Amino acid sequence: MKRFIQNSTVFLILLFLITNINPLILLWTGKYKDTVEGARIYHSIKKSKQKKKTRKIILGDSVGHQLFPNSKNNDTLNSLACNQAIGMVGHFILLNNYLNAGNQIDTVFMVLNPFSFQNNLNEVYTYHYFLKPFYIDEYKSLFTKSVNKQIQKIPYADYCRVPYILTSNWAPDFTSKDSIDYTFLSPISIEYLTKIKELSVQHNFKVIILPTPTCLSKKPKVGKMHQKEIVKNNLGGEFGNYFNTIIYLDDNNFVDGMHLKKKYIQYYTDYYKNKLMK
Amino acid sequence: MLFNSISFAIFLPIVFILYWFATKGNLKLQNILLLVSSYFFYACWDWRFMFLLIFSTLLDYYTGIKINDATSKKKKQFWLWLSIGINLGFLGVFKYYNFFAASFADGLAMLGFEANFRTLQVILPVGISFYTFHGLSYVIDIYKNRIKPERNFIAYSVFVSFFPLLVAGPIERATHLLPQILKKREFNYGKAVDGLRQILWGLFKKIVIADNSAEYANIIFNNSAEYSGSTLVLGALFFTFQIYCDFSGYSDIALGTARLFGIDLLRNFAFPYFSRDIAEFWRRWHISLSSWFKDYLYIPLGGSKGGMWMKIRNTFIIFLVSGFWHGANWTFIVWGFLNALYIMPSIILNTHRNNLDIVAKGKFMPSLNDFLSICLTFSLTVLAWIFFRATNVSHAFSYISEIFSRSLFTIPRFPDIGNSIVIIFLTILFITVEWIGREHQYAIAHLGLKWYKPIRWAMYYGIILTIFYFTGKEQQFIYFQF
Repeated sequence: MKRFIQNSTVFLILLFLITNINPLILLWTGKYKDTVEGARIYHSIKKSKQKKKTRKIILGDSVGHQLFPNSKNNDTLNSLACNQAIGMVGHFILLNNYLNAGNQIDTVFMVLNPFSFQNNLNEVYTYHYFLKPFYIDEYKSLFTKSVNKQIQKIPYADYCRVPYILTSNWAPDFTSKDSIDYTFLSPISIEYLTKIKELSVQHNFKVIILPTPTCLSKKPKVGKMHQKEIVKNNLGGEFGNYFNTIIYLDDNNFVDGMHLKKKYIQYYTDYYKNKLMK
Repeated sequence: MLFNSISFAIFLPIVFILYWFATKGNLKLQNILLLVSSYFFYACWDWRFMFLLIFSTLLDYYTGIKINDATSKKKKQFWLWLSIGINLGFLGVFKYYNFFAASFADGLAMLGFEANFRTLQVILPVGISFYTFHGLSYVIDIYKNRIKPERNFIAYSVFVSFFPLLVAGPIERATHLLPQILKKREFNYGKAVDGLRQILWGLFKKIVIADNSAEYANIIFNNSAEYSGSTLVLGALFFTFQIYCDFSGYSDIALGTARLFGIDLLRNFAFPYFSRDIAEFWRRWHISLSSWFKDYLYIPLGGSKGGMWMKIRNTFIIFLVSGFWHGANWTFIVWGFLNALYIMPSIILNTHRNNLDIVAKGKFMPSLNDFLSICLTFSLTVLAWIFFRATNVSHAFSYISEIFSRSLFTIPRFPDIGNSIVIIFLTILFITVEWIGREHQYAIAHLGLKWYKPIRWAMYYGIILTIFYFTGKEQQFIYFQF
C-alpha cells in the first residue's frame, strides 16, 4: 500500500504539472483569449476598454455578430456584438466598460434575436461564455442579487478560473431545473435592460433594440411571446417596433435554424447598416 | 454520478482511502462501507428510486431464503414465481408499460377501433434492468440448487448494489461475486495498478472515441434525409464506434474500479469487432448479458437438445428477448431479429462454434481469410446498428435504402466534417491498439509493462492528455437508459 500511495502521489504531482504547463503558458501570455471557443467575447471585452471616437455602438448576439463582426473596425459603428450566452448582464458590462474608458455615445444598437432575451444565465453555455470571461473581481460589483443567485446554481462556478478550465473549452454539463414563467424577457434581462436604460439617461444616449432575421418556422413561437412584458417593465421606448420589424426568412436561409448562411450575410449587413445610419 | 464526471473523480478516491485505511481490513466494515457508498452513488441519480432498489434487494434476499427453506416443490415454486413476478412486474411498469399501451392502441386503430390508453409519465429508474437480472439469477440459482441463499444481508446487498456494476453491469452471478464479497480482501499493488490502467483505457474509449463519435453520429442520424449514402455510411460507422466505446468503456471503468477494491467482475467485452462470424461476435459482445440469456432462457427452453427446429426457435427467442431487453421500441426488436437471422446459417450448418480461439493468435496480421471474415461480420454488425440507433423502423429502412443508392459513390459531406478527421484518425489509432492487445483482458493490459518506467508513465500521460484535449461533448452512457 505504501508503494501504491508513493507512486500515485508522484504520478499525480507530475500529472498536475504536465497538464498545467500549457494552460499556465496560455494564461501567462493571455493567448487563451484567442484560442478558446467564444474568443470573440474576449475580443469584445478588449474592444470595450479601448478609447474610440465612434459614438454609435452595437451590442448583439451571435447573429448580430454575423452582421456586424466585432473583428472589423469601422469609423461610424463600433461593434461589440459577440454571443447571446453572455446574457444581458454581459452586454451591460461591455457598455459600462465602454463608458468607463471615457468614450462618448450617441446611440447603442442592440441587435438581438427574440430568443436571446430569454437568457437568465441558465443555459448550457453560460459557464463557458459568461462565467469564464465575466465572473471576475472587476465585474462582481456589477452583479445583482439575482445574478449571484443564478451563478451559485451552476456547478463548479467557483472553479472557472482554474487555469486548465479557463484556458480550455471545458464546461460542466448544466441543465437548469428552474421553472420558467416568462415568455420573452427573463428576470435578469429585465434587470439589466433597466440598468442599460439608466445608463442611457445618465450619459444621454439612445438605446434602440433591433431584431435579427428569424426563421419562418419560429414565427409561431415568437407569436406566443408576451409583448406586454415590454410595457410592464417600462421598456417600450427601447423596443419600439421590435416585433413588427422582425424579418422572417425561409429556413433554408439559415445554417442551423438561427445563424444566417454565409451567402446572405452581406445583403443583410447592408440592409441593417442603412437602417442604423438613418 | 457519471464515471466520467468530476464528482466521481472525488467520490472514488474518498471511498478507496476509507476502504483500505479506515476499515483496517475488517471485512464487515469494508462491506458496510461499500454498501453505504453504493447507495450514496445511486441516490445521486435519483434518491427516490433507492427505495425501489432496497425493496428489490429485500425481496430477493427473503424469497431466496424461503425457496431454500421450503419443504415442498410447490412452495419452492411459489416463492420463485413470486420473486420473478414482482421483479418482472416492476420492469414491466417502469420500462414497458408505455410501449405496450401505445402498441396495443396502434393495433386497435389498425382494426378500426379507437383506444386511448393513458401513458404514464414514468422515469426509468437507472440500472433497473441490471439489478433485476442480478436478483433473478440469484433466486433461480437457489431454486436450481446451484447455490445456497446468503443469510448475511449486508453481503447480499453489496452483491446487488456494488456501485461499479449497479447502473450498467456487468450482470454478475452470485456464484462469482458473492464468494469474493464474503472473503477477506487485502490490498494488492498489482491488482490496483491494473485497475487504474483499465479505468484509464475505459475513460479514453468513452470520452475521446464515444463522445466525439456521438456528436457526428447525431448530426447524421438526426438529419439523415439530407445526406448522401456515403455520408450515411460514415454516420453508421460513427455510431458503431460510439456504442462500442461507450459501453465497453463503461465496463472497463467498472471492472477497473472494482479491482481497486480487490473484487474481480465478469468480463463484458472481448474485442467483438474482430469477430470472424456473428456467433463469435455474440460471444464477445456484452458477454454477461449473452451468457445470462443462455443460462436462464436458452437452456431452460431446451437449448439445442430438441433438434434443429428447437434450436432455431430458441435462438430466435433469445435474440428477440435480448432486443426487447434493450428498450421498449420496435427498433430494438428488429435489431434482435436481424441478429438472429445473421446467426441462423451458422446454427443450421453447425459452424457457430468454429471460431472459439482468438483471431490470428500470436501473429501480427490475420490471414486473408480471417481478414475478409472480420470485414464481412463487421459490415453486418454496422447494418444492424442502424436499426438500434434509428428513431423508428421506417427511419432505419429509409436510412438503409439511401445507403444502397447511387449516392453511395459520392464524397461524404456534413457540417463539421473537417473536425471529424481528427476523430477518425484517433479511432484508427484506437483500433490499432485494440488489435495489438486483443489477446488480453483489455487492450492496454500488457502494453508497456516491461518498458522503462518513465516511458510507461509517458504513455499514461499521453493518454490522459489526449483525453484532456479531445474531450467530446459529454454524453450520457447509452446503456444507462436500458
